[in-house]
Amino acid sequence: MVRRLAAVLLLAVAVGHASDGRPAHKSPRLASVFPQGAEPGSALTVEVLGQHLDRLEAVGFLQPGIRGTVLSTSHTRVSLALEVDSSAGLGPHYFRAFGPRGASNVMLFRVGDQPHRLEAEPNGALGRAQAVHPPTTLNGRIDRADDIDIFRFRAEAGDRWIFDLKAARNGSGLDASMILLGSDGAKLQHSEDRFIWDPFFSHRFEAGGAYYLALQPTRGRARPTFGYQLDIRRAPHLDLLVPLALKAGTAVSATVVGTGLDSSGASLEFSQEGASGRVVSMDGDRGEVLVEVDPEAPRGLHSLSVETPRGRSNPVPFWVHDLPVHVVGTALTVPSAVQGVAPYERPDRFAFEASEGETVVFEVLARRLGSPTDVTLRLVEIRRGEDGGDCCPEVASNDDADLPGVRFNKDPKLFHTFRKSGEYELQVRNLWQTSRLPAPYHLEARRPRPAIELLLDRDRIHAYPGGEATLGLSVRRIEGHGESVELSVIGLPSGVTAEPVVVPAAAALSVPEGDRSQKATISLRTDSPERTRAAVQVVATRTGTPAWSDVRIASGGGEGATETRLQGLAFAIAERPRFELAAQLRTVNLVRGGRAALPVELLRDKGFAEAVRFGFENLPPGVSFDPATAAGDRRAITIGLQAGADAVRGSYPTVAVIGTAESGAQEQAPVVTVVVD
Amino acid sequence: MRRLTRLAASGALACLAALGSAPERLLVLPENPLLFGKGAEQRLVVLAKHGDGRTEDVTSRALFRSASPAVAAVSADGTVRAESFGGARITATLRGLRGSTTALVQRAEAPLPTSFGGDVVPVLSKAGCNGGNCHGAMNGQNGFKLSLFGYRPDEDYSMIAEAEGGRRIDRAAPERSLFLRKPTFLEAHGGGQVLATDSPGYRAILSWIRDGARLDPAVEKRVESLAVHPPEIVFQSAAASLPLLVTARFSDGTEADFTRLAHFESHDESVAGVDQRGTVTSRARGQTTVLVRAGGAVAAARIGVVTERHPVPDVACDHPIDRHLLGKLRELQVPPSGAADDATFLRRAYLDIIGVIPDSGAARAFLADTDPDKRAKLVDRLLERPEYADFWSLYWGDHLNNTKQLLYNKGPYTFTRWLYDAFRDNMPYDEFVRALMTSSGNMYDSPATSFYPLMKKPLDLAAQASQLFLGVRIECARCHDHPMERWTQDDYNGMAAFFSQVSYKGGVGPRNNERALYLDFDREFKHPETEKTYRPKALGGRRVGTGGRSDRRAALADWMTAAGNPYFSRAIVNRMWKQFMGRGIVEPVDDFRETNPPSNPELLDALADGFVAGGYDLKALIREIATSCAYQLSATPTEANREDTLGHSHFYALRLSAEQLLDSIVLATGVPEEYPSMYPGTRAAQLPEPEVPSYFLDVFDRPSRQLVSDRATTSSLNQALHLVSGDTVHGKVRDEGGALRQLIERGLGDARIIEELYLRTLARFPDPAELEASRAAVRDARDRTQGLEDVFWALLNSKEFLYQH
Repeated sequence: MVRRLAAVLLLAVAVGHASDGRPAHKSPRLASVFPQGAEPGSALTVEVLGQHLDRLEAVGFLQPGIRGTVLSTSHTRVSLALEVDSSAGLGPHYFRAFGPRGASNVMLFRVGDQPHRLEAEPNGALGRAQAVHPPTTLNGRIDRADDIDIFRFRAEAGDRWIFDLKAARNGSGLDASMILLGSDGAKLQHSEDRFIWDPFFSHRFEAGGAYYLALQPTRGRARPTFGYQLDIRRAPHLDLLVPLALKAGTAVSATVVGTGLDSSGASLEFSQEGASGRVVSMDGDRGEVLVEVDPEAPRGLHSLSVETPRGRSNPVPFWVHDLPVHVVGTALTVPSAVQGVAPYERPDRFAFEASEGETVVFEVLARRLGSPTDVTLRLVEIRRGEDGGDCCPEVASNDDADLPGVRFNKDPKLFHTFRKSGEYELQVRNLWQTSRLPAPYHLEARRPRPAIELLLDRDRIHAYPGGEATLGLSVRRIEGHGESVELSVIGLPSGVTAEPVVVPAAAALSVPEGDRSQKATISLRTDSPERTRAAVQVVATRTGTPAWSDVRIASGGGEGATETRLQGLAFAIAERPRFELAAQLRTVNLVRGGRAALPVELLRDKGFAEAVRFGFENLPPGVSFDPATAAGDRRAITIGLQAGADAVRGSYPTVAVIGTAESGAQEQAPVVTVVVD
Repeated sequence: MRRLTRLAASGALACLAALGSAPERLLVLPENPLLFGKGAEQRLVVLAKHGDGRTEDVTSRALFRSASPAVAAVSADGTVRAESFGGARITATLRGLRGSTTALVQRAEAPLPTSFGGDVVPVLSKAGCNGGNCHGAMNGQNGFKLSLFGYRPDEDYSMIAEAEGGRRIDRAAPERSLFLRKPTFLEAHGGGQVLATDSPGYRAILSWIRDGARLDPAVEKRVESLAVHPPEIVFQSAAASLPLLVTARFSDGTEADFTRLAHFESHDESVAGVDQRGTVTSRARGQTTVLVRAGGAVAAARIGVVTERHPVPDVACDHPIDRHLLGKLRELQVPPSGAADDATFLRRAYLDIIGVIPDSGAARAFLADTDPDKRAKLVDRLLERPEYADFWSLYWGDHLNNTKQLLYNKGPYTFTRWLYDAFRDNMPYDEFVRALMTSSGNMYDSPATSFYPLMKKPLDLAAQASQLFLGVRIECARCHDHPMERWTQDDYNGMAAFFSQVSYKGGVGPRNNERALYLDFDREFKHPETEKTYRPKALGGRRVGTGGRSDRRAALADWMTAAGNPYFSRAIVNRMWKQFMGRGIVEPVDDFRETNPPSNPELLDALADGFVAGGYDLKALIREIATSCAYQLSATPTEANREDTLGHSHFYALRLSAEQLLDSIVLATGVPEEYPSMYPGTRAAQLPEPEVPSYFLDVFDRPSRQLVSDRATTSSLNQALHLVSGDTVHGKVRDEGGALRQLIERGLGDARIIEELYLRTLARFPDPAELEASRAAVRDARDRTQGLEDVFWALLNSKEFLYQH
């Protein structure tokens, strides 16, 4: 039984070669960047960890303002030189790296307006705490077992500082608690998480003196990729703008909810044209603002930030619409928009009349705009009884709509065609109680707006010289869209061609959202040399609607992640691998002074008979390996590992087996963890 | 409501004579008995009350007379018999003394019809037929199965009167019924003779068979409750006896003398025994309870025995707690110990309120303080310390399953923060419970939802909420009606129905196992085995308003936290009392039941009433307890109170908990304990989950938190070995950066250092003998440092350090 289990486990980690029996392609995979950000006008060297990074040649940012060059590479590590323009926009920037293996995934690099400093070890005890001077953004890592980072700073009586740890929001798997200690080590504040796993708090100091801030990884989980940015700042943080939606052509008095709000010298910054406004008053965690939306302002998502002499806040979203505003106490008309606060038990009720065959879309925007709600919609028919009593059978309901590009969506949407004329009631309620923040929602009752969304199934693609590549995507038909859609690819480099594809007309399904998805594939044929690359777009030919994908940025090894939406995708002509490696264990356990064997499988391409010599990257200090070479006919080899008596105890999760062929070609096996005890 | 009577009993007449005391008045029990149906009988008991408070049973010597024999006649032995509707005054006389009671006769036109549940099942219970070791066993005996203690009369009827073609009943010749011939051993019976043919039980069954052996809904009834007369007895000597009478109240409102059908059992036979006629006999000093069971109902009488008479002095404490405690001690003739000294109180208050000993500076300051109100002020200061919130978060973490085994991932971390905030802010206890009970939302964003671990279903939640917040264990009723209590399966399922709407929604966020609790308003509770649907019903049968699409849990929380709830406030004050006094007024603290009465009900009620009136303020409750003289008694017993384990005549010493002990060692030695990946200075009481590795904490009974129960406080060889030779104490005593090294480096003399070590460990100065012995130990050691280390080590291993006293 044990033997059978072992065989299953071995199979599970065996080489995952391509279905054609040839070595699988390994695109460069970026896991983390350190430091995770910089201030405008700075130049710095960053270290990128990942896999299959050897021979990377270039780095490209998707937004203007940052340029990068490759300084050095290995299979698991790249050094980049970055130059951040003084005009670079604040906030996340995204970049990829390119090399003979094609384009990498996207990584986040955040530009911030505070002085940036690096964490310096050792700093794991109060007596060795690293001195810092707020305001500052500290770039650090919790990268090894028992790592705790402690910073010492001075605060004056009456100071209020915001402590904001960005890890998950930067794509790091780090889950850390943040603890503020007094000069005597007594705990003053403790935050576990506020944004995914990222802790956050604001603290007003009663007395001047030295203080400590400790970052403590939950259950000691640490990895080299677990980077973070710790902001100690006075710039405000925004949670929410209430109301969530504004009607075009109106001026609205609104409330911003957040932390560190101070009206002195504060102004509003808007993400796009068409909206403007000013600060009326601010008082700590609330502020009154006046927002004016032009009649011609783009409909849809906008955002605003608060600019202060102490720095700029994060942006909060709001929605611009052009629907008549529902008047409380009157019947709901279509179209109209409702602003409400979602109740927990007793729903908000909106009565209206509908005709047979009439189709209405009811959509709530709340969670998407920062409201901490999980709103549900319930549509019931009002039946008047002869005895005066009403009964109300449910005709439709929705909790979480399947919205393209919205992971973990909590906003409901109903696309409903009424089967008979009569009186109906729409019920809106929050699925749970919320306490920390208000729970506003924006409800739209409107006619369907048929549209399409083109969703790419990946954000990068490669082909081999003279070969083909297949590009997959979904055509999402929104609210009853039924026309045929022609898709074409633009931006292809010379020598690469793709024929337009027509997705035939289709009726909408009667799912709650009224949407339907159809799959489509586009074939690319290449006649270009290796290392050709381009940013390409897939568009709906008639409307120019671009295809996009949501990409997840995560360091691996934890639950923290962030996402961004990318239009188009990276295309590259890559070299074909001659062989592929896989270590047949995920974890190798070594005791100091002891040995262990690591079996490695080697998949050879047709005709590839070179001997392959093996080596390692990131072996633990004090651990060595026996020289090993697989002759041209060998498809497996076992490599001996030896831990010296001075080997450093710990868990090393990024040990990579590297194979080098006689021709110089190199491949890396997926990393394994070596535990030294 | 009838007046509850507490009696002090003496021994036999000889004893009375020896004491030279004559009775002053007679008491006839039960007071104003109700007799239903012509021919119904009620036995009377006559008790003589003496001037010194003692009581004796004089029933057999009293002369009885009925003022209205046509209504109720009375026999020479004091048995009243119902004759016609009305009231009859029954008088008992003895040596010129007179006592009386009034018998009220109702429905006297004819004898009441016999009923299966009211007349037959109690006979079976008394005879032991439906006990767990007889036909009440899971599979019955020899093909004849009865429900345990008769909790399913309908099923029992079917088995007796219908099963196997009804062969057990002979309606034509009732005396020949197998159902009578077996227990009387007229037919072979594995259990032997359990019923005599001339017994009232036999006659009751025979009468029922003669009436047709029916289960007639029109006359069917069951025992709803029992009353014991008197409910409390305090014997003034050993070898004294007094009878108990038992009255049953039925579901149809009638009552009957059930003394002969009741089963009696003493909790502590060494204090007092009881025979199956209900006669209690005192044996040795102490308190116990006599459990009375009949017809599926239970009741209890509290028994105290005083064998030595010790004057209980007046104590200069005008504190409500002390009034109640002293009253009880006076009754039991147990004088309290003296007051604890300042040092003892200081250390005790620190450990009980914030979970760690005082540092030497605090000890010096407190001992030097001459403010007469300094103890109360100390309590106030401790309640505002951040360690208070840590310590009580730890306590509730133990009881609320705060472990990753049930809460997954980071649940224990976020829940600990929530608990900390609640205690830091002194959230009123009713709000605390309501917040837990009615929580909803994402498990990480709304940590109070940790009260609802995914794997707990409505039945589990009902049991947990009852045990934790009401102090009532209803778990037994999951399978059968509670054999020792009033709770039925209907009660249990009714409680479970409050949690039927609890639903979970997965995939609500990026974190592993992330889910949200929400309410499905349309979901009813269906019993997992019977699939029967139950409506919400609070314990005790009260329907609670849960109308429409609303949160049933909120209705339950309303009922629980209502000022008049008989369990909620008593359960929490009892829990807190135990934390401070070492023993609950009801013990175990989560096992309130009729048959486990409080040792001092007046005190429990007073604490509970004050807690409710004070707005469920836990800090105020702590202040109330900690400022009482009772809390400030010495832990050193006197000869007169050494055996007292219930009355709190002295402080009950208890080993420190794992976290109290380790945090105190750290504070005393000045050497922090390092926990993996915890920030420097983290105290044991701050650890969010029991999974944080610590051999010391594990060996000293840190709980896994997978059960809702109090901590064990064992003493084991492993603990002793670890204290004596393990790294923790030894390493910290010798640590180069530790307190002792710093004292030595400051150039202090031996006496000053020894004094400081006493203050650091025991919060007191050494007495001259201790100081001299310690100095001698240092002098005799190989070197001074080692000698001082030995003294320090010895203090840390002393009982005075290891125990709360």
